[in-house]
Amino acid sequence: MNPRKTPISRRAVLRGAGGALVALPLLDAMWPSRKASAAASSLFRKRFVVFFSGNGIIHENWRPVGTENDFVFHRAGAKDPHILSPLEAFKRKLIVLDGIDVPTRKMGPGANGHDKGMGHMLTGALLRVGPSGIGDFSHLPDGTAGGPSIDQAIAARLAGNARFTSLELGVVSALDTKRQLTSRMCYRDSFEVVPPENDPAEVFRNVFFGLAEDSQDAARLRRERRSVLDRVRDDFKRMQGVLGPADRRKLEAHTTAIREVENALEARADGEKFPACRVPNVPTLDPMDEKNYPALGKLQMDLLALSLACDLTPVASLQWSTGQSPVRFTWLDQSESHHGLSHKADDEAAARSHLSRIDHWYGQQFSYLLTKLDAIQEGDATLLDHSVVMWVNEQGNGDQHSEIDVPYVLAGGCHGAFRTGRYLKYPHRAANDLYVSLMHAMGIEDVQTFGHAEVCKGALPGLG
Amino acid sequence: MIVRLRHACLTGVLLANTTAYAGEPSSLVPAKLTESADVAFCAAGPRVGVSPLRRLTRFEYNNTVSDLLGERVAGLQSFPEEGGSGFDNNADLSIASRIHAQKYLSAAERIAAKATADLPKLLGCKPDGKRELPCIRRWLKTFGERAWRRPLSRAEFKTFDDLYHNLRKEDDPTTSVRLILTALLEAPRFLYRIEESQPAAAHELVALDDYEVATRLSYFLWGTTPDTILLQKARQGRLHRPDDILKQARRLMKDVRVKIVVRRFFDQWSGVTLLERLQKEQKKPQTWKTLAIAPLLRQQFDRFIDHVMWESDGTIATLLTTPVTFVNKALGDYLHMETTAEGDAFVQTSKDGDKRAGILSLAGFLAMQAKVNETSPIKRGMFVREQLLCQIPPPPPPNLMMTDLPPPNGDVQTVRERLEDHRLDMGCNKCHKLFDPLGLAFENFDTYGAWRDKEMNSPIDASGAIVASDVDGDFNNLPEMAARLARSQQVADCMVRQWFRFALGRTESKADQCALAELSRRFTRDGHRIPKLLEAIVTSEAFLYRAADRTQMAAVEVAR
Repeated sequence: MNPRKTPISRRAVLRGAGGALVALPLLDAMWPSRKASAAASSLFRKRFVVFFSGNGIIHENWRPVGTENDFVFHRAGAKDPHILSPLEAFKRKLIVLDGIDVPTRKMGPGANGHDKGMGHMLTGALLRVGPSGIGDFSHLPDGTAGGPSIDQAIAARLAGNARFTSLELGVVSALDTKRQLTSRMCYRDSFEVVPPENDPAEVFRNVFFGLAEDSQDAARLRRERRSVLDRVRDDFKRMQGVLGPADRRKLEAHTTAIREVENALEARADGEKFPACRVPNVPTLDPMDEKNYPALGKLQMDLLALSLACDLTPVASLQWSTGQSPVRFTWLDQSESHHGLSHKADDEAAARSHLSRIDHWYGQQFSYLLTKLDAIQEGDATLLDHSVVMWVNEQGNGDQHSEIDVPYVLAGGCHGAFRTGRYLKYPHRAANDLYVSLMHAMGIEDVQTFGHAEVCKGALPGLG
Repeated sequence: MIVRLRHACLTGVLLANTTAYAGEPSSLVPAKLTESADVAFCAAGPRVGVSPLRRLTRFEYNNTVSDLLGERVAGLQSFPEEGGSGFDNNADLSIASRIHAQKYLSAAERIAAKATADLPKLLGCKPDGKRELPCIRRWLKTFGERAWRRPLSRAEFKTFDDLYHNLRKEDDPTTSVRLILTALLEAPRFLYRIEESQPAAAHELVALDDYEVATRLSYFLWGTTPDTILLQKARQGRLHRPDDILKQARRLMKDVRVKIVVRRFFDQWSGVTLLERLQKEQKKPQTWKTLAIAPLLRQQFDRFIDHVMWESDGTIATLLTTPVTFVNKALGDYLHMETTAEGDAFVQTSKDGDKRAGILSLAGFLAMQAKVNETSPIKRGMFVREQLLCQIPPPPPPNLMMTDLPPPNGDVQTVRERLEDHRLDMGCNKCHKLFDPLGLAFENFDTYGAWRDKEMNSPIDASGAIVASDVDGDFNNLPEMAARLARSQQVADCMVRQWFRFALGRTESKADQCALAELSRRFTRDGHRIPKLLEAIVTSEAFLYRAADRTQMAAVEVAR
């Protein structure tokens, strides 16, 4: 492909590690061009996106009021903002799911509500105990999830036809060193955690590398990386031969990881099909400083939207903080941690109010992401229409660590697989069944169960 | 059904359904390490558990790079944090993801670019004209051995030599060396601690070769790559006899680097790793400011550990009971301590020492083992139970909602009073008696780690009893409880287990019982002096042998 045709501005050139990076306002460069793609809608792939925020929900301020097809994000007499009210503009593109449970949490090993919350949330599988058994607060200190998470399961099936199998982005999603399970949500399989990248500058450097203007520098770096990685991949292969199976598996995982890095080197944008693919400048922000939480989140959403606009991957996730999120929402004039507040919810009206405002804020962020995705034209529809974006939480009631009535919101119709604009109430159906529906919607139709089969009753009815 | 309890804990019926533990504390006392080992099993020859492949931790990677190439080179930044059981070097969870591969690549590129900025300095010679190839080859041989912690094999040397030739067709020597260096730092032999010596037929154990011992020694005691002396000893084949190994271990233990590693052990063991991220409710503006207080608490902690381990006798008793602590002016003020400290320097003090119990009364530890706004006898008691006594209490029943304590109300004001239901309810007390009383012994120290005589105007009651241990009995306060723990064989055995895990990067398994028993015996003989335990570990079977992988053994058999 002739690089001249890529709609990438000169100032967007990658300047390498620690290169000149510019302040936030420049991000408007990331707004996609309004120019519609000439390609027909049917030529665009389906995408699956996970959007996580934790510590449960205040249901009365989250549940829509009304019927399946006619509902509002407003409760008469409510003092606090309705959590979903920022999504008003997207109402016709949403399905709000009520009555989804994670029943596996009542099964299997482990008893800590946050281990179980995160470890079961996307896997629907029973946890596995590590060599150390059960530790403080009933955590499984070196335990792991019982199988792949839904995003990784979908990614594995769709692998091979995009540059990245999946992308995992985080916002100050720090790992609690003693509690891997509480912190992480994506698993390729048991013991194979897929951690998110928290630094937008690193996402930019590593994911968009190949898309920056093919300057001499970039071409040189690509050639160099190829020669290094070729050499290294051989070393890894050779080493696998001298090791036992468990150790070999570690090196295999590393080899796979290197291959994905190599794939990134080859990434190119089809500028005619994807005119919204414009490589941005990304400012440097301390990715672990909580004060930067809103700004980092916005950058990560920009990059996530862009990675989809550039067709780099069919699957992505954005993890805000971790399970048991300790974030203090100082920008909402709060001083107590989110997790601390969540444990006062049942007893204190003030805490419920704070929590509702926190989740209303997350609603605004979700809305921001949807706005981005919906602004990207793909044929006569938008990228959002071709995707399904799932807003997920590790708890139902945060105070009680409950696994029932976990709040799920789907956005985007996934190329018509889902009939949106609805509020659906289920009589306690397992998230596993929702995940089966998601796989079907993504075109993976040969699965009837997901995770722990015992709790599966088949795909959720009424979504299509 | 979900049982939700604020005041009461729960009924015995629930517990009966969920755990085999019948409430009899003595059933939870572990056998002594020296008594639990199967004599016949151990007599049959060395035994050791499977050691999983270890990847350098962030700490080790950064140390390694700076030792190989100099301080000026930065290592890994914003790298995924290690997670796992207790210690950050646990190898079971060290599976690499794409993010790891990306960060290793960009770190190696950055490091190599800096290191080759002055090429003759890196190479130790000028790669000009006819001298180019000999210069490069000499560097490849010496640097390769240092970076991969063993000499490059002939085949390995050749692939890099060939790569250099290929690169030189298009690039200058600096670029070519830079890319070779990048590849060396990305290689499995650099990132992983590969132990591959093959088992002899029919043997289940493999003695590590001299280079593998050098690597284990160096990463355990220094957290970094073997130095030139260790590599030289390995080259000479003088690192497999216990007395040779001990001599090197003692040399390493005279260096400041062992201090840093030992601090890291206690830091992770006592749960103060995340001190710099600790948040507390701020009742008064001067109470808690993470940025200002955490560094002081960290310095106090490090200073204390150095003192116990290297200036004092290094015994468990001193660790747990010494009245000595360290403060500077700012920390003394913060903790309301009367001190002679002036300015930033930390001074040693034993004033009011009868209130203190070594590491257990360090403010950083106490603040970590507490909630944001009040103490947590459960956290503190669980620490004693799990980290000091190596007992994991039975889990709470899965249908129990774990919630915060009820807020103060009426007559029920202090934390002790609010925990009273745990004692009164039979079902609760079955388990809570294992840790609540141990945690209440710390009640004289508030959530910030400062001393207090009263809570809510009531005098503090820190008395209680230890059960389910080999030092059962009553105590009136923290120092009395600590004194009991200090003479416990169970605590000494637990310390052996913890150091074993830290040294080997894995949890002990059944096959390790013989090595653990031997370590326990030696630890007792050495008066429970922890520095001596380190020496015992590096000469133990578990450190010098590894279990052969069965599949690997089968492959060797077939090959024969």
